[in-house]
Amino acid sequence: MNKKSFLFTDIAGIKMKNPVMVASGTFGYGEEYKELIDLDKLGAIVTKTITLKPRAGNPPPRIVETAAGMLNAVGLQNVGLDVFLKEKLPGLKKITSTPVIVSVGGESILEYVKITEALNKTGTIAGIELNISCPNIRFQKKNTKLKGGIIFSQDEKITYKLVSRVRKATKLPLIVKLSPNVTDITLIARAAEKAGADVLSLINTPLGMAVDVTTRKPALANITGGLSGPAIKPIALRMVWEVTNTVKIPVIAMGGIMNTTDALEFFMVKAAAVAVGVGNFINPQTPLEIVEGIADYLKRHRIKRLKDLSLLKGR
Amino acid sequence: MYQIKAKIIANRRITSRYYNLVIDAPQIAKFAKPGQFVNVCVSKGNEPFLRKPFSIYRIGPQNVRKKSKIELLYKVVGKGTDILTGNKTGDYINIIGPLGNGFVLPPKTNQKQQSEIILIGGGIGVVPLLFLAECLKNNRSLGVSVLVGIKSKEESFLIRDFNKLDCRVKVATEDGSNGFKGLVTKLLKEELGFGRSSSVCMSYTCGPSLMLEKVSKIAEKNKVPCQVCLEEYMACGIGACLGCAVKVKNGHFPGFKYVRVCKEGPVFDSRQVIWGE
Ligand SMILES: Cc1cc2nc3c(=O)[nH]c(=O)nc-3n(C[C@H](O)[C@H](O)[C@H](O)COP(=O)(O)OP(=O)(O)OC[C@H]3O[C@@H](n4cnc5c(N)ncnc54)[C@H](O)[C@@H]3O)c2cc1C
Ligand SMILES: Cc1cc2nc3c(=O)[nH]c(=O)nc-3n(C[C@H](O)[C@H](O)[C@H](O)COP(=O)(O)O)c2cc1C
Ligand code: FES
Repeated sequence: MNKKSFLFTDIAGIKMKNPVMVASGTFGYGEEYKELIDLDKLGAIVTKTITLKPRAGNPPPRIVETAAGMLNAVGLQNVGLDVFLKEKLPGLKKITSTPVIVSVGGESILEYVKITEALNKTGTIAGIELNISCPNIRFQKKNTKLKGGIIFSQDEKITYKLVSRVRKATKLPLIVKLSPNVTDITLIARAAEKAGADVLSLINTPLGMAVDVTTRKPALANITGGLSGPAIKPIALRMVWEVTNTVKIPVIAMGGIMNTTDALEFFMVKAAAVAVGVGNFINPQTPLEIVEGIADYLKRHRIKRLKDLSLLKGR
Repeated sequence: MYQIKAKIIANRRITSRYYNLVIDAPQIAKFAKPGQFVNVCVSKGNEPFLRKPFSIYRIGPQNVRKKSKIELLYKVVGKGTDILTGNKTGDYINIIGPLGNGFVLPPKTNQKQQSEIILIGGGIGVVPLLFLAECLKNNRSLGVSVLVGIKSKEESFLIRDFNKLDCRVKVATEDGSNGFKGLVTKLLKEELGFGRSSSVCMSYTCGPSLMLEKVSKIAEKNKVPCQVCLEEYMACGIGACLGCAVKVKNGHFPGFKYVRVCKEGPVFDSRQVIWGE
């Protein structure tokens, strides 16, 4: 059996040699990892979220370790659209043939649309991921008292409106990344699907906090931050399961995937692909080891395609 | 930059809180420069979750041209460093390195009076300075003075290897149990006082951030260039996560920007750093 052909995955026209990607914000602009792993062996690379203008990011400390995970409040530091298009994207395309998916962020719907229009013209990217779930960018909704505003994907109507507008602006495969900081993620998932999203990806980080008892201060300068790592895997798995049972479009799953077994769990709840996040920090070989691991598992269990890897009935 | 499963040659206890770890890592030893660090996977499970960064203390073996070993010196301060103490000779450990930009060596100069170098270390902050001192001593005919601040004489082993290098070493202890009683910054002020600073062409420092800030101010006041080796909480160690940011001057966000300690640093020109923010 040719490993290459049976792990090949086509998600809404994004053609990947395997279904293992790397998650936005954990893989820089790709080139940071080039000395440590063979980028060509990844399914796809999702770049750090870019915004229209460069963003300075939050003051330090920005990260702290927690039980089986870490909190981050990077604050979407990024080089901005111009430098991304001039330097980072061509630089990455030069060193790998792996599909590049560009993560897009913004403070208004218009900002998302503008970036999308600029990305249409590159001709080198495989798709766009709308990061409407970053806990560090807030949208001030009218008539709410919530301090600091809400995350776009915490509101069905805003999600629908934003995704529809971007959908009209591009023919590129459109991935919408959802936040777990909601009561019912299926409502948001449906809104994104109805608005024309080709793919959903989840989860972004649930909000958390840590206190340094020595200094009696919050561990992060930003006070709160997004939690990632094994600590969030059960939440991610539950949400992916809920969403794949609700929408028809494919789902890219992420949240605490550190090894093959973690990845398999997500495939068994019908994820179409998985993405490794902080796993890259602990062991940069993680995504490639998972590719090997999945291939072995399928062979051992005589399963032809990943699609056939669903949960069995009964208890 | 390499990720390797490296064999532990020795993990010696120096005092109850300090250990010396020698690792067989030819690739890293070959390219390592003073001020660079390695990111060490200390745990086999999820606790502690992240890799832990450690500066390179020196490369070895000594008197052998082809260096194949790297040496770390670490202080036990928490879960990760505690687990590290359990490693035995022959065990394997996963490390990534060499990482970051090291110290910039002083320009070669012929004027003999212009060639004094001062290294200022605070506690475990002496680690990258020893590797630096070895390079300065090996390659150049420079006068190297080392000022070290430690808590008490129990930490005197931190200056032992500088003495062996034939550097001029001065020590300050908080309790006066060895050398000067007081802070190392006081020693530095004396060193640079009475117009003596004109013969000093470069200073290098590593230690607690308050000390670094003070050292920078003293150096700047005396017009001595100063390179500071900073620490910040790290996750990836290779420039991908933007977790280890430090604020520096001259950015395009009116007057500042954040740069990565693991990539642009850990060594910075003291005049670039915006302290305490
Ligand atoms: C570039 C660099 C070089 C260093 N070189 C040395 C060295 O040569 N010798 C030495 O003893 N120590 C060194 N340190 C500090 C060392 O990394 C910490 O002491 C170690 O990470 C503590 O881990 P822990 O789990 O034992 O402690 P914890 O209880 O987890 O933390 C204690 C303190 O260590 C620091 N720390 C914890 N995790 C990290 C992390 N992932 N990244 C950065 N800092 C962290 C934090 O300030 C924290 O408050 C260096 C740090 C950096 C950034
Ligand atoms: C340091 C850091 C930065 C991140 N930055 C982004 C980002 O810019 N855009 C985004 O969509 N997600 C970002 N994420 C979220 C991850 O892509 C991922 O959704 C999350 O970490 C959960 O997966 P994990 O547990 O495998 O890391 C970031 C996560 C971390 C840890
Ligand atoms: S530790 Fe990740 S960018 Fe420095």
